[in-house]
Amino acid sequence: MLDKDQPSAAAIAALRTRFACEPEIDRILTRKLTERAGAGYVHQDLRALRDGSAALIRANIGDDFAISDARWLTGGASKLQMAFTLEWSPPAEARRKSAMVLRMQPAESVVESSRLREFEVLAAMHGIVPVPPVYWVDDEARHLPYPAIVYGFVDGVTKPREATSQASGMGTQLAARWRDSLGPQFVSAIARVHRTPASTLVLPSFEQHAAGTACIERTLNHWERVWEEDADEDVPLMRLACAWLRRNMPPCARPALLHGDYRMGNFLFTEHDARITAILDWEMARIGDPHFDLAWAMNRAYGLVAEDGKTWLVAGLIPEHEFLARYQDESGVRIDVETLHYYKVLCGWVQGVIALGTAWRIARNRKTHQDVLMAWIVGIGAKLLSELRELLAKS
Amino acid sequence: MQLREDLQLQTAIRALVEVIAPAVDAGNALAVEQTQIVIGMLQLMAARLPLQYQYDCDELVRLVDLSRALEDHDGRLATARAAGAEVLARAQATPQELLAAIRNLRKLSGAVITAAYRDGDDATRTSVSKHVLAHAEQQLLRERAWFAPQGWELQPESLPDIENLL
Repeated sequence: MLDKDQPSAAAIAALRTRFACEPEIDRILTRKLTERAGAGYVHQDLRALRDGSAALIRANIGDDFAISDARWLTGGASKLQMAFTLEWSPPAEARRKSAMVLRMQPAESVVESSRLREFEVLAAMHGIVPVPPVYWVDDEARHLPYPAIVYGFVDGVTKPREATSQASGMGTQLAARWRDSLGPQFVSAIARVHRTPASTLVLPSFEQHAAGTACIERTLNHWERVWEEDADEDVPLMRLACAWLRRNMPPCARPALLHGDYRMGNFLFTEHDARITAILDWEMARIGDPHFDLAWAMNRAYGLVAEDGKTWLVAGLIPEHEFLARYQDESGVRIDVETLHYYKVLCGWVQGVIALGTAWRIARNRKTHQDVLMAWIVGIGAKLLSELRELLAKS
Repeated sequence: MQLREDLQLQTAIRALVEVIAPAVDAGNALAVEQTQIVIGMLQLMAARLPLQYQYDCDELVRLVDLSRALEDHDGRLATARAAGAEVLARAQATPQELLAAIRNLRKLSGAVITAAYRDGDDATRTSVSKHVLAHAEQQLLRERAWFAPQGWELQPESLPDIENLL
């Protein structure tokens, strides 16, 4: 039997064989398990992160730079973020001061993901949708305590100052004046991502997929492996959902780059003009069926009912019919109702894996900088699974 | 139910010790002292909560014994002793045994569901789905009611109180 807190080499090998994942996903999940029996997250102070950032930058550009004004950033349930000012001379440019962000994972993360992939996708999205400029990656934690990337600071907020929300940006209540402006931008951005042929993007750590079911099979392998690695008590409904998803895999006509966690809270906008300035949190990005991003954004946990008490707002931003119509017009992707339903089930199941499996495991094993938030998140599991149950009942 | 008191206490204590307590204004003696007391209180709770039920059963055993030894003038003590002994008789399983039985049935049910979907025919799959969905409906209703104070629900008033569901 698998000891999930101290998995043996043989048990890890068996999981890798049983659930064939993309090579980079396999690498980071294997690293997680290999290090699981080791220490929990060790609290880091700003000095340690500033020194680690300096070491990373030095390894890339030499000694001619200075770091100042290091400070913590809030936001994001899964990664630590430190803002700082870098005085440096970018290649072929005059010396200047740049606002930067260090984004570092803890010992284990609620979504175990690759900093290398995050680095690549931010670079690939430059010029397609607003993203922060990305500079350096420390994927093997050679310079910092844990794997990290450094990217440029972008002005903006994840919610207006007067808005209220739950953890991780869920349940953000926006007034109509914000929605009218941000909703169409929210749709346009993901339509542009999906419209871009994945094969034209430089993403060496991503597996490209031909049309068919290969991409969804990889996704199921990934998340079922995470469930096997992390879940404590079993959940019959989660087993049913997984079995149903395996049996009903829809072929994908044209795999595209997916954001993977597209919703309110994962983009920045400036308050003075309500303009989206950066799409963030690409750590779950992969090549797959565009219906995934639509289904994720449409999840009930991320949406709200408008002031009229009846209009459902996708991501709390835009009425559902308008979301789908605009997306179809702008992306050129034909939405298939049955496929969208399949991906809603998939998204509900993945959220169950994250909330009930990983959040519990990493909080219990003291692996993060905010275990108490991870434990808090476990409590949303029943609500997420209620939606999953309703979706399965319609299948 | 995955989010139980042990994890809630463990993570709350860690946040208090590693993040909150160091940030408390050292010049505010009352806040410093009460932060330490809160930490101590939660640590005591975390250590003793798993034993609380056994502790109460143990106490009841000795009170039943004591009541036998005491002179009973009007029979009230004998009645209370009989009631106490009857409660003890019903309180045989420990909370740990109860949880172990739940976890075992969850695990084996999951394995049967997976196998039925993989190897069974359409009628079997339909039947399995029907029963699992019916079970989940009742179980999830209780879990949502239990965690309603966290504020995840859009319409919490639509949920029954957990006290009425158990």
